[in-house]
Amino acid sequence: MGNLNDTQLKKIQSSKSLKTRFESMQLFKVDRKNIHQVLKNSEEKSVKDLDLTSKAILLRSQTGDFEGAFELASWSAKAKPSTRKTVVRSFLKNRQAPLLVHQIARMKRSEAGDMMADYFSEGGDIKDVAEWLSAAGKILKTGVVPDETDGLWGWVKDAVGTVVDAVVGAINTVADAIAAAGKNLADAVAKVATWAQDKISDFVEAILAAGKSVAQVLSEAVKKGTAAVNKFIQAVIEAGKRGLEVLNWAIGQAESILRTALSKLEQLLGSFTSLLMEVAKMAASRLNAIVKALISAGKRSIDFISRLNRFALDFAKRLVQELKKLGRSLGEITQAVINQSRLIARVVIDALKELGNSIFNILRVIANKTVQQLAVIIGAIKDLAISLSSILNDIAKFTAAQAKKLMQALRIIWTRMKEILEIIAQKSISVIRTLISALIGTVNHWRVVLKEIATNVREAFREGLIKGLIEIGKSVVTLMIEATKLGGTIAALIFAILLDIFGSHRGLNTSERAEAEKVFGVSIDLDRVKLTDASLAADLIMWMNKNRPFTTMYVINYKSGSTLPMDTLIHELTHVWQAVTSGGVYMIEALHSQFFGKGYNLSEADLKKADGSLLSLEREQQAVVVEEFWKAEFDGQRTKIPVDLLRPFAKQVHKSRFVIHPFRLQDFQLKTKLVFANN
Amino acid sequence: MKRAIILPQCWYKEASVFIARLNILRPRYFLIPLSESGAEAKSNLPFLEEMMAANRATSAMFVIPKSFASGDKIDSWPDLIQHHSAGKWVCSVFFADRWAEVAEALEDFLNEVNTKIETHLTCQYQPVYAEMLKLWEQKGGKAYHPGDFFKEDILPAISQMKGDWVYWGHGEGDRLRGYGQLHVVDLLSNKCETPLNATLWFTCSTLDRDYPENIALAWYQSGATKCLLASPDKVNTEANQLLSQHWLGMAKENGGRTVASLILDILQHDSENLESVLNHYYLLGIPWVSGNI
Repeated sequence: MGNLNDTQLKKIQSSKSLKTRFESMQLFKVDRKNIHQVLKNSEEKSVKDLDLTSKAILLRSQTGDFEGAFELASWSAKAKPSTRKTVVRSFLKNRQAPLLVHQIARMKRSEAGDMMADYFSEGGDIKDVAEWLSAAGKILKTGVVPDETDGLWGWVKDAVGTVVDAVVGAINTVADAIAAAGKNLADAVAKVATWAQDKISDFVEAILAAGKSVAQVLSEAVKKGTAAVNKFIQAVIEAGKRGLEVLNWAIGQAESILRTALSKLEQLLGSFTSLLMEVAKMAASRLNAIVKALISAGKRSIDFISRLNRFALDFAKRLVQELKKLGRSLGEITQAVINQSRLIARVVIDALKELGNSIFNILRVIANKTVQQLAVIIGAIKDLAISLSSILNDIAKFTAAQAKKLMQALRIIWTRMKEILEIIAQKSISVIRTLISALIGTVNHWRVVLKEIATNVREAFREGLIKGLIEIGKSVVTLMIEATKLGGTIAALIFAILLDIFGSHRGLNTSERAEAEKVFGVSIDLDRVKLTDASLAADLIMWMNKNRPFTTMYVINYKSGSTLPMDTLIHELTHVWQAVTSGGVYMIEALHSQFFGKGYNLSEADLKKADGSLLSLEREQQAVVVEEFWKAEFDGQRTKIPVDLLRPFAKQVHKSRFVIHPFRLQDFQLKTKLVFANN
Repeated sequence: MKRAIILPQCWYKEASVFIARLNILRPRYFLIPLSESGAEAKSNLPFLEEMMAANRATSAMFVIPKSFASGDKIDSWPDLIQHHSAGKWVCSVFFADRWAEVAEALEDFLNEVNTKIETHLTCQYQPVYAEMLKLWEQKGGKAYHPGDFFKEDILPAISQMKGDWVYWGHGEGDRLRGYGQLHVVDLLSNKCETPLNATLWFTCSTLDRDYPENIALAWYQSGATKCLLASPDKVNTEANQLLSQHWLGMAKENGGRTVASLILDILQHDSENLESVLNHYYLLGIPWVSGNI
């Protein structure tokens, strides 16, 4: 008990004004040890006297002595209900409501609850509770008791080692007391909506520590309008809550509120990317509403698409699909991909494809972009494992100019022209036409494509491609001219293809070769001889006639559908021999033997006149000589001119294989046959 | 359900006599002697697992030297949840330098008159912990709400507790942060007059490795409790809530559970999540104390 005697107590009680009561209490050093004596004395005297004592104690708290106020509150908590109410009224009348709340926070739960009930029943405002919570929240946030509290929170430092634990306990005491008094702490939110941001943030820190959820806080804030929502969102984020919690609340609100929340979150999180990262954590079913609100808030497709590389594939695709479902055009979405990374392009195209958009339609809306921009898109399409063949089909649907540009882009991704050409070769002729034209548009000269066809493209695909070149207007002559510029081998190959295009061609079979060797030996490279039934254009023949040497001199043409008799073959091979020996001037005759097929008459007189030289005969006569010789010498036929006359001429077309025979010195019979000049 | 006592081989003979007497009424206990480590010593683990599996044992009390009762030795302790070919088993750690110490503890434990275990519930004053307190209170526990019990109230209350003591809230190597922070010295000065059946601290770091004599070891070594569940690690609050809910669910079911069997039953519910949570914890002392509340 206290140490004041009756005289001192009477002296205090005799002071009737606040000033004198305060001074007398000072005089007798009323403190924690004896304050209960004074209060008990006053309580016994009258309500009025208790009120006066309470006021005097509270006046002392204004000088920084808060322990007196705490003792007043603690004492009243254990006193009769009427006494408690009197004290509470004193606190309220002296505008010391926050101080009372502060004292409640230090009480035990049951006393705190009773006191809080009196607080509200005596007219206490929850706003003052919020004031205290804000101060408590500030300590929570910083972990230190601010100096400007004038010792109000000193007990926190004294009571425990860790300030935060004590303040959290105090906040929960108040929160439980409010609940015990039948009030809702969340109601305070609406009361403080006009406060400055910092103060609201401190308040929110406290009520979150008291177990209120983000949704509870924001649902109260929204009643006070957009500005309040903004402040409280900032407060919950500053209190360390995740943006996701705000989003999960906002999704259930009107779209305007959702929009507000999203804008505020973007600002608080620092970037739209960070906001989307929070959105990515939400349930998939909520994405539509979020994207809708973001668009409504002014976000463009590009704002989403440019950030897709920051997210998991699944979310990124869903984001694109939501944009599309919300009415963003294919054009807008696809245009947004331009200048983005290949990864982003892949995600967008994949997402659009899943929604049923074709690659052609996607390409169509960006066909006017630069080659480099298109290359990114084509690369992304490739990354989606869409085949080159399929892409080429789509390119073939474009106009020539667009197809050319797309082909240029394609070639940045598929750098091996051979690959492209071989796929093109497998298309229908109309598609080949478009694609070959487009492909030629990607090189300096179409000869490059021709060379690629001849040197790298596999044999099976060459003919189709050469046909394609012819289809787009490259004449056979032009083809051969360009092929010749690329060298003999390529020219031969292209010519062979042309022969096949216009008919068919083959080499000598075994029996033909055997017979030919008998007559010509190795004077003709029989491996190069081709038999064809092709019908070649006159300009080609003209060109070949003028361009020697040319490998087509080995080609023997015969009418389509007919077989080539052996004697005719020998005849024609003689023309080949003529061409090889004398040059391409004979080509036209070789290819179009029908011009000369009626043959020239050959008589023994002609042979005599030739004086043993085959070349002295007309060229067709030469062929007849060799043909007749073969008939008589190797085929057992009777000929008009005796074979012995023919043989010396015919042998002139034969060239033996060079053979070295081993010999001995005596074979030369030096002694008998050799004549030395000086002997 | 057979119960193993894992002990040094040199104690085997005297321990066998004790265990034989223990098993007269009900053959439940068996010994797994482990050879003392030395240069030639092989790993004991295959033998241990073989013995646990062969006896279809689901719990064991692993006796290790008292010198291992130190925060910096925790990583040498066996994990709470162990596995053998026949399934999982629960392992507690018992510190003793002589068999007589083990025998004495078992004697006390076995001679205890079976009375209803009272469960004393404490927590830090935060909603998430207060909710757990309320939940357990509704199931028959006695709550010491931090709004009702200040530091000066809870310490004497602890000294009077009999049965189980449960705590939720923050913890550190030298303190429980509820009730204005209960330090080692506070607890040791208010040690329970009768050893508790079990102390369950669903909190972080009370076995903090950085404190050789951390608060959990100090409490257990003081003889205040026969069994202590505590963690050297930070444990996620939600994970602790989940564990507490399952623990309560099992503890309220009939069946005369021990703490060890209760842990095994918990694992059957949600093995994947709860095993990882439980393995943050260690069980000190006798694992066969009552697990029911």
